[in-house]
Amino acid sequence: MNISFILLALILIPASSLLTFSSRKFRGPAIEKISLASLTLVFLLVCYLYPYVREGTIYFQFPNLMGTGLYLKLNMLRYTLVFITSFIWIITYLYSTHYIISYKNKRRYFFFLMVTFPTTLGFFMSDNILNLFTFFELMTVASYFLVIHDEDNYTHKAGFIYIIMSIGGGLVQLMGIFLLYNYTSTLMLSEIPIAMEALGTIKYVISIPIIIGFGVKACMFPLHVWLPKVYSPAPSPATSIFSAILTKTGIFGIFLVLQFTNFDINLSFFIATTGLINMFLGGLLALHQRNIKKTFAYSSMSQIGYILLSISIIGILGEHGSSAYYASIFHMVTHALTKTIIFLGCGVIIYTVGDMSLNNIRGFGQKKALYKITFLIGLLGTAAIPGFSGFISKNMIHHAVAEATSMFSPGIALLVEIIFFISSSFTVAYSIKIYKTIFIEKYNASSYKIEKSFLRYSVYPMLLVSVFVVLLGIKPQLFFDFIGYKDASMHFYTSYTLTSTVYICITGLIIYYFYIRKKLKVYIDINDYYFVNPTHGWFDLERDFYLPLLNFLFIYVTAIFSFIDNFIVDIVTGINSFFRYLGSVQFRNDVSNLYYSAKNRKLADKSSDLNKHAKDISKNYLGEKSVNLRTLLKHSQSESHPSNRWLAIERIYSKLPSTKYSLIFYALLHGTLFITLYIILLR
Amino acid sequence: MNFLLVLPILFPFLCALYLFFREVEEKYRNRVVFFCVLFNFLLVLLNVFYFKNSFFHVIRINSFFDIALKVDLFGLVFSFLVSTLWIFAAVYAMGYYSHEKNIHTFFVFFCATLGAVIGLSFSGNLFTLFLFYELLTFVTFPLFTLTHTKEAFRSGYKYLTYSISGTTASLIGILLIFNKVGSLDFIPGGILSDIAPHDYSYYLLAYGLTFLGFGVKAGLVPFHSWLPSAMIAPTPVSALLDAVAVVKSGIFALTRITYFVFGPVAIMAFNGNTFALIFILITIVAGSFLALHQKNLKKRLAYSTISQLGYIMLGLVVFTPNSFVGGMLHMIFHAVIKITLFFCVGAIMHVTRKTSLDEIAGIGKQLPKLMWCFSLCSISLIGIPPTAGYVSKWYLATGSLQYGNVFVPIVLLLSALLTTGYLFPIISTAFFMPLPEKKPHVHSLDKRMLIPIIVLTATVITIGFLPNPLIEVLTRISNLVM
Repeated sequence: MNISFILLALILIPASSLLTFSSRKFRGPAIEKISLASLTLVFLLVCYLYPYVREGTIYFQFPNLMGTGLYLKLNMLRYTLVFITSFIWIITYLYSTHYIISYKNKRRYFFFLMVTFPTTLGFFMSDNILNLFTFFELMTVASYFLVIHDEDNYTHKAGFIYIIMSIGGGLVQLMGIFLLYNYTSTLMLSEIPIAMEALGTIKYVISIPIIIGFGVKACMFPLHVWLPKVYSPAPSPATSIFSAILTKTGIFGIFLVLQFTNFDINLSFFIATTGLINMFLGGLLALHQRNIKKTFAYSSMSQIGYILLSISIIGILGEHGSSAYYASIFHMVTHALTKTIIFLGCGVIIYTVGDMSLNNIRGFGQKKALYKITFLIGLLGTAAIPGFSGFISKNMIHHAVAEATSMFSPGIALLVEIIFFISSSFTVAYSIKIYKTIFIEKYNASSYKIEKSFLRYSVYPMLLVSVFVVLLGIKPQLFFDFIGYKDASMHFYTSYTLTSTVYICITGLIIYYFYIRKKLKVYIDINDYYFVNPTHGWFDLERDFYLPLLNFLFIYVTAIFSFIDNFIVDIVTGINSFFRYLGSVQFRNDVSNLYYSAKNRKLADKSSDLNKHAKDISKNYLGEKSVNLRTLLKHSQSESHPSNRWLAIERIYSKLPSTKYSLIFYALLHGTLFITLYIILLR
Repeated sequence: MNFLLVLPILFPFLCALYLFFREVEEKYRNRVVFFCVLFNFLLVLLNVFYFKNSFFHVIRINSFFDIALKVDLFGLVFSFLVSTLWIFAAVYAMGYYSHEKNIHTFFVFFCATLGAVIGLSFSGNLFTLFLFYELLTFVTFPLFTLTHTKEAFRSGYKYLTYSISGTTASLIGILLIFNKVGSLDFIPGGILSDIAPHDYSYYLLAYGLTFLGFGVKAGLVPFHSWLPSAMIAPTPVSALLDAVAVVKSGIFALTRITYFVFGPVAIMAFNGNTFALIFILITIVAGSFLALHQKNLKKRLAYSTISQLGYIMLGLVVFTPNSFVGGMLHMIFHAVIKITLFFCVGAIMHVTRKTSLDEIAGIGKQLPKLMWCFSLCSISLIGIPPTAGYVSKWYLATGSLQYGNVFVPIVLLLSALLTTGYLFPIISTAFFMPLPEKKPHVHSLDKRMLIPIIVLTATVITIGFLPNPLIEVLTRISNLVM
């Protein structure tokens, strides 16, 4: 049997298990067993494929399906991602079966969990840019349903922002794909690099929209605004899928774009800059959060910054880029594993206590040894402590970064080094904050106990994953053998790396003691305090930039288009009313009853009866006291009445909070508008 | 035997007359209508497969007053589309109007409109097209004023005014062409031979007038206001007229004059396509943007139609093979999708008496099949791969990039984003909002309304996955005309 068909089977097997959801014969437990069986089957097939992928890349083609055909490819990088996806999906699935216990929308959750899986696998295996886009959009739509699982107000807002940003990014990406096809006449990822060589600056116009599309998923600055909003209301297993796997799809997409532009140096600089901003900003914002999920959402953003930086280094280093390449893969794997542990751990807290705020869950970790250890391993893996896989990957990245920045001025090298150092210390600082608050203190949340049945499906999977985190930390050579990277010069436990880790930890502790303890905790009593989050008053990219901009455009464009919508009808009704007015003007034949009243200083009528009668007539005619143009207009209006005309604007953006930043921004926008009008009209 | 071409046009009118003069009870009337529509479909098939490229003069007085019927590939596609959708509309209307009295007028003019539209698609020259176009206006007018309320009369009056002004403008255009060319036959590639440069403004005037004139029926902004007002009429009427009959006839007429009378080469010479493109781009954006503001579901779909018609017209004036295929594909896909969406909304209105977006919260739990079909069709219209709407957008965008204009795909994608913005809230309110405490009373849904919806949704999904046969036929047409 041809091995390439297995690639198609990896997608079709979970897809076919979806059919059980619609049939009425199958009950809940049966569906669960079938889904679990299909996930396990896929994982086993992936393991089976290992020796074949090791030998060489596997391809699968199905031309003429859906217009352009289906093209799948599996090389070592894609294989690693597929492997980690199938592994983490099983873990999260087992966790979900005991986390999602309320019957409401349970079927929908599992259905879309099982829809997202084959679309993600298909994404990782696609060799054709249109297949990539298709799987990407399907994955977005499927994961939307995981976000809005709870269906309350906040969740709906989160889902809305997620879907609008993702689909908006997808359409920008589609524009890039259209341009790509127009200029290179090919859609196959293998042929695009050759065609790209011939293009000039147009390749930036092509690749940047595509990067934007992937960047929304990968939480690249400034497209990261959906991240904290979506991670906190989503159920915890869904959040771990988002953080562990879906961000990797965005990163993988960006990597592919860099690859097909032959690792262009300008694009690499662009990605490197955004990576550095992500690292710093993510760490900084994570320090301040009180909500555990938001903390780790920003922590994800920070870790993604590391991966983006190392991907860009591949291009900057050129031929020596292979170390950066393997560093990125390793960090992707580490991040996936550690974030799974962490978010599943947060899920345990939310399931048991029902709250996400650090102020209400203090002391939860008391007397829960297994949970404590696994969560600690997750935190240590993120913070890059020696003995855990994060240490290995961060130092590989650091090594590659140092090699790359040595090619440039010492000023840049120092700046990058400082950002790297500070971000790592931020990571240590917020890890200490979380660990101390949840696990070291004894407080009112300590009395909560984890249910036995839930414990089995939550902490034990976390334990399994943490075993790998430790294993990869102690023996990284296992991973490199797995992936086929032979570089004997890789020594990780050197004095340099260990001492720099110590410095980072010390700085992290300093940040914790002098900033977090002093500024972020408000003490009511000797032992009683609560956390504050001053970032609510800071400049919020979404609230103070995106929303005012969209609101501004929306209102002005509505004004223009509602004018266009109605102007013909208004002209015709206006003409109608005018002629009706002309027709209603009465000329008086008899003037004998008129006299000049000196008292009122105007012309008055002796026969007031006539007046009254006339008034009654006019009242009967239109129901008005006096007939003039205004009243005629009022009665001539049809459905284009002014109150209908300035159409009821959707209340999405009209109730915006006006902070000082947004007011400044509105002023700026109006100023730009007037200046542009002035320039256009006076040219 | 060519006179058999008249049959598919005449037969529905005969059925309409029969129903008009004999007051029959409901069951018998339903059977008559169904038979009429089905038999007409078979007649159309007979004509297109046995009398390919045949030509028939009904009456010929001189070279202007010449009523001629002809079946070519383009007319074939259109008449086939229309006949098929008419069958579904007939079944739906029978379900919608079951147990309702005094609904005679609807079915009479339902059949008559079918005849008018088939006549339009079988026209052999511009004069016949114009004749059937005017006939279409008068035959659809009673459908607008069906309910005999003040708003219905107002909307019918508006429609009549718009349509007749439009046809007057196109009549002037037709006369201008006839003056210069001397014949009004449809020839693929246009009947204008070399135009002298000093005649450009003359031809631009002629093209502009005919384009705007026929564009009124095709929902060209700023002459589109009759479409949202037409939503006062009951759903079988709006579904038929605004998804299939009237608006697509406008598009058909526009295609005929652009490709079969003026011709792409001539139009590009006197810049007619730039003139049309301005209106079309405004149509696309205005339609989808104004749809965001509508709370009434049918009005929302009406503005959506205006925007989607803009896509089709875009495919027509960009003059690259890909864009023509994209435009025609979108004409077919949009007709099927829109009629399904209108059917769904009409079914909701019929069983729950709710018309507005804020009233349908949670209705997905009470009417799951219906809302699933609505969601699938909306996703296809938005253009998420691998559905039907995406295929037509792909062709439109690649075609317009070949034309050299980068602005057009940007407008397309902006409109796609706005389409998501106005279709998605309907789906999310129906499925993800909780039902109000006082659950709305839901009458049972007549099977004759549900079956067409499900069958049409299945068709949409199928042609989305396997569009290749359609693309092949349309490529053949595009090769003929360019």
